[in-house]
Amino acid sequence: MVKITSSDNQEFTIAKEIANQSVLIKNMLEDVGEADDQPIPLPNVSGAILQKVIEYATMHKDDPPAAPEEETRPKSSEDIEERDKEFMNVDQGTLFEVILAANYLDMKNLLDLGCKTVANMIKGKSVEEIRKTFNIVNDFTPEEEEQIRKENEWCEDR
Amino acid sequence: MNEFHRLPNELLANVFVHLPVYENVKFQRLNRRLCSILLNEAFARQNVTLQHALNNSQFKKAKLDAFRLLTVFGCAVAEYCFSTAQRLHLARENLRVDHVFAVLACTPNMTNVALTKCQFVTTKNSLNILQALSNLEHLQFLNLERSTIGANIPSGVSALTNLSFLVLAGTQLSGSIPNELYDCINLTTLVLSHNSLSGTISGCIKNLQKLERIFLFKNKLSGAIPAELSSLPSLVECYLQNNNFSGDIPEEFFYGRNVPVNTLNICCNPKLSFSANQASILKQKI
Repeated sequence: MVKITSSDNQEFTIAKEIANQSVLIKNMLEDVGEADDQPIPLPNVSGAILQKVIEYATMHKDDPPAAPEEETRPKSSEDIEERDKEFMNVDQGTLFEVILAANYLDMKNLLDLGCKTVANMIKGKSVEEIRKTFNIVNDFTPEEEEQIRKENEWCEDR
Repeated sequence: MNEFHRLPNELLANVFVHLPVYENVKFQRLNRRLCSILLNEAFARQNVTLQHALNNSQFKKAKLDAFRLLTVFGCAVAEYCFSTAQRLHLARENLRVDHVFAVLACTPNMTNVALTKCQFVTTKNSLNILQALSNLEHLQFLNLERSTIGANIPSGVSALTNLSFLVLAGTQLSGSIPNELYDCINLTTLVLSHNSLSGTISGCIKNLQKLERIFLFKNKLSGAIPAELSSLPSLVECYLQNNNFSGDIPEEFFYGRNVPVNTLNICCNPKLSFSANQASILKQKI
């Protein structure tokens, strides 16, 4: 078993094969060796998010390792498993926290899942709708915006 | 509170990668930061995806996506997307001429180009799409049927020495047929119908020894039909109707040929004259 602590000092004890899904923790464990019983501090991840990440790692602990040729395949936001969709059915704040945590913990599959989920929230929306969804403030001048709009006019609305 | 903006650039770029290119284009318009991420970071990541898609000829859409990318990222993207391409087939699209130039400039091995029923959108530097093709010395098949060209046939066409099929029907061509066109000595099919071409057919057409089919109907061509055309050894189909040709019909269409001409259409050329004997043969050949 491996002990980890969150930024708000919550301690979690998890199985090694679950911990090893994070490349960050895996490398740390290899560095400190088996004997060390000290919990691994994860100062960038809160307890609530760590809980969520552990839930994902537990769900996927029996997944086969990704095939190497996956890298060159065109990426698509469509191929999300049903259980992962369910897992990612959270508020925007949590979603972005999970993405940041996955990036920090170096968990490629979870990071991709997070990014795909955001991509799906963007798909099919107009520029204005995307701004609204994510509270994006338009900082272009009207002239600049018109210029960009014109340049892209011919390839839009398809 | 702006959760989206808390994501670092590389993660936002990671989101772009999961979206089709035409969705990416929108990011340019959201705000300055997203625009710059799209231009600087997302492009590098998109490459692998695009190249894979482009190398698989089934992904026609990817080529179109690549053209959209040109709008977003500029012409530099052309080399990434197309440098190994041998075929470019698009129909009914609006394409910017400078983008087509950029693409064709980095595809020296292109053999097959079909851009049919396309609107070629010209930008400031108005360029003729046909000029862009002149550097494709490996080009064998070129079809721009019913796309908007609206210019003369450029003399640079003579560089296309491997060209076998040339289809420029209904492309609003004007001016005369340049003699350089007859330097494309591997032409087997030449289709220039439904244009506003004027002037005469030059005797230089004798260079086109492999020419099997010629479609010149619905133009404003005039003068005599040269004996050099009628004596081309491989000619089997010849469509000259609806022009303004004059003089006699050369006898070589009918006699002394190893390969007979199957089809000869010369109707609606009011100034052409032919003998009674020719008239009876023509009836069979139309």
